[in-house]
This record gives sequence, structure tokens and C-alpha cells, in this order.
Amino acid sequence: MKRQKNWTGLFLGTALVCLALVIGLTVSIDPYMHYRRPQLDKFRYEPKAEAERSINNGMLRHLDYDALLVGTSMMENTKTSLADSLFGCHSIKTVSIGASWWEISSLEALALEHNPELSLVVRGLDMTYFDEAPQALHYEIGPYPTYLYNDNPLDDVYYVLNRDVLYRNCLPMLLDAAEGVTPGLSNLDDYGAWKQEVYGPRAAMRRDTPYADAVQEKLSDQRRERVLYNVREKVLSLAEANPDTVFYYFLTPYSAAWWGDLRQAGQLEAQLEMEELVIRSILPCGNIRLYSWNTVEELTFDLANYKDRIHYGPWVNDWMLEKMASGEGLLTADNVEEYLSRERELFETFDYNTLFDQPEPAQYGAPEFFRQ
Amino acid sequence: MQYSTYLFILVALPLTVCGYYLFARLGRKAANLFLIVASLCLYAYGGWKGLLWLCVSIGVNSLLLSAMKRWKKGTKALLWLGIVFHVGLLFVFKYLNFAAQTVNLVLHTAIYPPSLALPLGISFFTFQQIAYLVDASQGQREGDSFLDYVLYVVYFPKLIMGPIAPAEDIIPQFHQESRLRFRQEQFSAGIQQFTFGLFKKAVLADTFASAAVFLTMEEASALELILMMLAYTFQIYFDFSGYSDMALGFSRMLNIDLPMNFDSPYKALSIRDFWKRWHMSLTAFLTRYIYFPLGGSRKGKARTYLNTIIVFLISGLWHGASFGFVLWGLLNGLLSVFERMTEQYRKYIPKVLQWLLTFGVINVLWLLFQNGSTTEWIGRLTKILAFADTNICSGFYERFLTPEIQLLLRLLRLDMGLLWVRRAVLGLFYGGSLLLCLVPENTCRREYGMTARSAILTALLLVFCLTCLSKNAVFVYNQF
Repeated sequence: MKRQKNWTGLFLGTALVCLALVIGLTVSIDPYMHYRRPQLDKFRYEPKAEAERSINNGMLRHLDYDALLVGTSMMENTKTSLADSLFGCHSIKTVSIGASWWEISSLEALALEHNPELSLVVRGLDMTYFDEAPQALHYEIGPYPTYLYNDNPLDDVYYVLNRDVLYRNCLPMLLDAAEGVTPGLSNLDDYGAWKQEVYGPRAAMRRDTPYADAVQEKLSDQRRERVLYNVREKVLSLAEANPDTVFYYFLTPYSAAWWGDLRQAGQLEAQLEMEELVIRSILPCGNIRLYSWNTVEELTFDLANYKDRIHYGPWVNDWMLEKMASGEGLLTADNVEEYLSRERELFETFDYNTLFDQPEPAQYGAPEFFRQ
Repeated sequence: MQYSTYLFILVALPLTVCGYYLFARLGRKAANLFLIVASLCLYAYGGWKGLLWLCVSIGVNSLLLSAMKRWKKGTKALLWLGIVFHVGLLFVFKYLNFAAQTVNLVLHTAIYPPSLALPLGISFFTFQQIAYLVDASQGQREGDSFLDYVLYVVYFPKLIMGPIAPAEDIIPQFHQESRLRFRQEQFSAGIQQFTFGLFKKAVLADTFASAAVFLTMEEASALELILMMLAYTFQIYFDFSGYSDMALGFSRMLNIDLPMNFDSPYKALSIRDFWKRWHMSLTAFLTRYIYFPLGGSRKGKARTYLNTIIVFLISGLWHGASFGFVLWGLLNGLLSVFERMTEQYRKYIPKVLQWLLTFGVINVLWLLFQNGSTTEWIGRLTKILAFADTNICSGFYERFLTPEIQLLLRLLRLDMGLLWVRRAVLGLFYGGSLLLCLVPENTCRREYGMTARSAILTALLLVFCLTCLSKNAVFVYNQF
């Protein structure tokens, strides 16, 4: 073959043109809405569960909404359409599986900063993270795309030359457009929502050995300080800085199997103390409506609602939204003492080994209580 | 700084290459000085503490080298002092915890030394420091200047993961004036080799990496365990040889030739043949500085066998601080000895069978290397041999349904949910990778053309690889 005289020039020229094409394509389609509002009249945007951390930021900054559903896997099955009809709002959902309080609060803060119209926030307060480290970021669930959350244009290279962005988003979006797929934003009810999973005592408990008794540990001063710090910095500060926004928060209702494991590990007392601290700290805040359904036995004690110790079925998300809209389960200064003593009594005295006697559900779906 | 990062490819590499030829206009010294500064900057990007220890290592060696020049009679003592220092440094960083665990196990003590962050490439630069010291003690490095020595140690293309290059191969190149001119054919070959290496790393090794550890021994079926074992075999080869290609390619762009490190090792027909092809610079180092001084094959058969086993034990320990690695080295040594003993019968075995046996043994040994634990290794082998279950779960297939493969399937109007499609993709990765290991000419030996087609294809491949760097990946051999 003929030897190319200016091989270097041809190589560099081709590489630069291709790089410019790839970068240009990503910037112009911008599937994660990093640079601008989505082009809903041209392309089909489908936020996917595997890219939650990547797309949340752009959605919060560039979509139109006045209500936000935000949280971890505890919120993934929450439906924006149901929230819209119950609260008369236009909501979006930004979820991040396994995210820390800090990460979720950062999303909330971002929304509040960019959207003055935001009047309602619904968020699950994950009970496992009450006393986690102040700036905890859970890398074990996947890399955190800092380049999408900071203002440094140089590290945007991770976005504009990104395997997932290019081959899973930009080019398929172009193909969609060419094939005449209706442009717009996909139904956010489905964003992060799970496929049909297996629910029931076997899946929820994942154990064969009986629950054992243990000496219960008191909450240490260090953990108490952490809980108070987390509530102050990640919950109260946002509410106080945004008095016109109403925050619907709920304590994520984990299963009795989770409480049984806690008790066996000697952590039940500490958990109850932490929860009490959280509730008593939040209650005085006027624009936070705090809900808990931990004492609803048809929910937490019926393992047919759970696919593991903490994850409840989508019917629970619907039910909780309805309860929030109707005010059932709202914790107030008047009922908090009764709630706390009832919860303590329930989880301290329950015979967790009776969970083994629960029958497996005959089929996938909500138990009778939630169908009423 | 890792080669397979945007920062290196888009910023550091062009700056280093351009800077080198700009400074080269000022003369050889300026160019070499630039390479030292650039190398230290690139190394320091991985952490200043590592740089500190590298400087300490260079400082101590420089003092010893200077003392050797002045006190000829004490050369041997100084050499041993240097070896003890370098091995000691490596021991503190890499083997202290392993030693403490061993002592605790044997003597039932409770010694827990602080765990120290391993300076990047310490296993590689320590061996080169020792090699230089040995050469100097034998009077072979008389003509080198201080700058020559420092550049030889810190020269970035080989600093963090080799190849472990002998000083006599590298330092003379620093002196050649002809290498200060930009040569298009060298740059072309260099960028092509670099791009092949990047492809091996970013596209192949990283895909196999996610499959190699996808399931635990308990979760996996026998067939999945075999596929995971093969995945690791491909991962470690594409990872390390990919790195070597990038190192050699980068160096070629600077007109400095580094020694070949891989010679298509999976083409080997015996374990001894394999070690002549795999990580060749380490094998060469161990042969020259340990096997030969021990007597090599000059002191009878028994001593040859013993020396072989000693070398492989050291190689095992060099790769990792655990009994699993020691056993891995020992098994390689024993197999090499067995092959020497049965050499005369080899001609009776068909070559295909020789290859199959060798490739099978390499896989089984990599399985031990990967897990580091003999219990896990035996457990996996037992399950594989029982071959009771041949199920492949959907998640395993999905490891290979990379974003670009998904796009390709869509363009071909193929449903990736179909089992035959998934099997075809899996087969494409495994079969294609095996062919890549066995058929084409090695990246170091092949002639790199300078045609318009090669320029365009290299540019396209480079840009494709760049779009595959979405996750910050780390080379497997970094831990050594």
C-alpha cells in the first residue's frame, strides 16, 4: 500500500474530527439534561434506573415541576401520577438507590435552589441512616458522577466521552427520532420502579435460624450527636430556609424481620432512641409533616409486603401517598407520646419467631388490607 | 497517573511528547531533564507520599553508587547494604502484614503492624534499583551520569508497571542524538501500539473483569465457574499486555525502545515456554539476578531444579503477599521442573494436545492467582470437576451486553433478550479473544504500516476506546 507522507497529520486530523463529532453529538442531544432543558419536541427521554445518579441532577435543574418525590429505593415505586392527582401538583421523581441522607438532601437542596416554584417535597427518611457519617456518600452502590454535580467544565469530559451516554442514550435517541418514536419525557411513574419481584416471609427474612434474645445497647452520646447533626443539617436547615415549601417526610416502614434482626443484634433500644430523637427534633418545624406507619401491623408485621427485610411492594408506596394526602399517620405533638410508647411496646414484646409461621403469599400482589 | 485515563491520553501524553521534542531542540541534556521532570510529575499525580519514597530510594542508591566509586574495596559490602535497604523497603510496604499474620498464626501472638499505602510501582522500581546496583558493582555502569541514572529509574513509560528494563538497554538510548528528532515512523508505530493496548485494556480486559468476579463460588454453576476462570485468564492478559503495549507505544513516541514484555503467551506449548513469553522482563530479571547467581543449570540436575523452584517461589511472593501466591509460584516451579525432567518425551505428544494441556494448566493456576486462597481455589476446582450444573444466569450474559453491543444488536434488529443472541455475544467475546491471543502477530513484532488506512483506522479505534473510558478503571498489575 502507498505510504502516507503526512501520516501524523492524517491521524490527528481524523481523531480530532471524530472527537468533535462525538462531543458535539452528546452536547447537542444532552441525554442527562446536563447543559440545557430537554428537547422534548425532538427526542424521547427515558430516565433509567441504572443512571439514576447521573440524570437526577439534570432533571432537577431543567424540568418543569412544582412538587418533588425524592429518596432512595424506598421511593422508587412512588408514582408521580398518583401524587399529582392526590396533591393537585405537577411532580417529578428523582431517586437514587441506596443513597445516603446527605446525597438525598443534596438533591433536595439542588431542586430548591433551581426551582422557586417548588412547593411540595415528599421524601422517605431511611431509618438505617439516622446516625451515619455527616458527609456519607455510598460508593459501594456505584461511582458517584461528581462531574455532573460540580461547576468544573474540564471534568465534563467524563460526560461528553461517556460509553453509556453515547451508546445507551445519544445514539438510541437519534434512532428513536429516525424511527418516529413519539418525542417527550417517559412516564416518571416507571423511573426506578421495580419489576415484579418475589415477596413473602422467605424472601423477607432470608434466615432459617430462630431469633435469639440479646442484651440491648443504649444509644451512645456520639451516635446521639450524629443523629442530631444529621437532622439539623440535612432536614431542618432545608425546611427552615424554605418556609413556603411543605415537606412531607415519612419514616421508611421496614418489616418486623428487620426489627427482629435489630433486637437480636442488641440494637433495638438504640434504634428506638434514635427514632425518638429524630421525631422530637422535627416535630416543632412548621412546614415539615412527618409521618410514620411503623405501628400499622398490617404493614410492618405482614411479610407478604416485603421482598427483603426493608423493601416493601409498590402497593405500599401508593398507600403511603394516599395516607399522606389524607393526613393519616401524621405525627403531632398530641399523638407522639402514644405513638412512641405503642411502637416500643410492639417491637419489644413481639415474638419474632412467629414470623416463621406466616404463609407464603399465593401470588404476587398487594395483601387484602391494601386492596380495600 | 494511569494510562487509560482522559487526563493522560488527552493532556499528559501530548504535552509530554511535544515538550520532549521542544526541549530536544535545546540539546540532549535539556530533553532528558524534561523527561525526568515530566516523569516525576506524572508519578506524583498518584500521590505525593509515593513520590517521597521513590526519592528516598533514589537518594539512598545514589549515595551507595557514589560510595562504590570512591571505595572500590567495599563494593560488595555496599552492594549488600543496598540490597538489604531496597528489599527492606519493599518488605515494610508489601510484606509486613503478611509476615505479622504468619507469626501470629505460628506463635499465637497478636502483632498488628500499621497498614501502609503501597507506593505505586514499588515492586518494579525496587527490582530496577537492585539491578542497577548489581551492574554498578560489576563495573558496568561507569560511564553513567547522575542524570542518566535518575532518568533510568524514573522514566515514566516503565516506572509504574515495567517492563523491568536493564540499564544497558535504556541508558545508551538517552545518549543518542539521533533520537532527539521527531520521527514520523516511530510516532506512527507508537500511537498504533498504544491504541491497541488501550483497546485491550478498556474494551476487552474491563469487560472480562466484570464477568470474572460476577458470582461467588456458592452462586455459580460449574459452567459459570469455567467461564469465570476463562474470563480472568483473558482479563489478566489483556490488562497487563494492554498496559505493556501502551507503555512501549508511549516510549516509542519518545524514540526510546523498551524491551518486549509479552510474546503471545497463550500460544505457549509448555509452562516453561509460557514463562519465556509472559512478563518477559520479570523472567529475565529473575534469571539474571537470582537464577544465574544461584548457579543456574551449571551445578547438576538437582541444583537446577532447586534453583528453578526458588526463582518461582520468589516470583510468587513478588506478585502478592499471601500463601496463595507462594503456592502459585511453587506450582509453576514444580511444573517447570517436571517439564525439564520429561523433556525427551514431549515430541511424542501432538502439538494441539500440548497447547490444550498448557492452556488448561495456565487457567487452573490463574484461578489460584485470582483468589489467593487455597480453600477457595480447591472449592472451585472441585465444583468444576464435578460438572453438575451447566446453567448460565441471565446476569452473566449481561456482562457482555456492553452499551455498544446493545446498540449494534438494535441496528441489526436482534432482540438481546433471545437466548441464542446472548449466547452468540458470549461466544463472540470468548472466541474472538482466544483468536486474538492465538492468531495475529504480536503487537511488538508486527510491522506498523504508514498507510492512509492505518492512520484513519487508528484514529477511529482511539476515539472508540476514548468513549469506553466512562469508568475509572485500575490495572490489575497496579497492586504489584
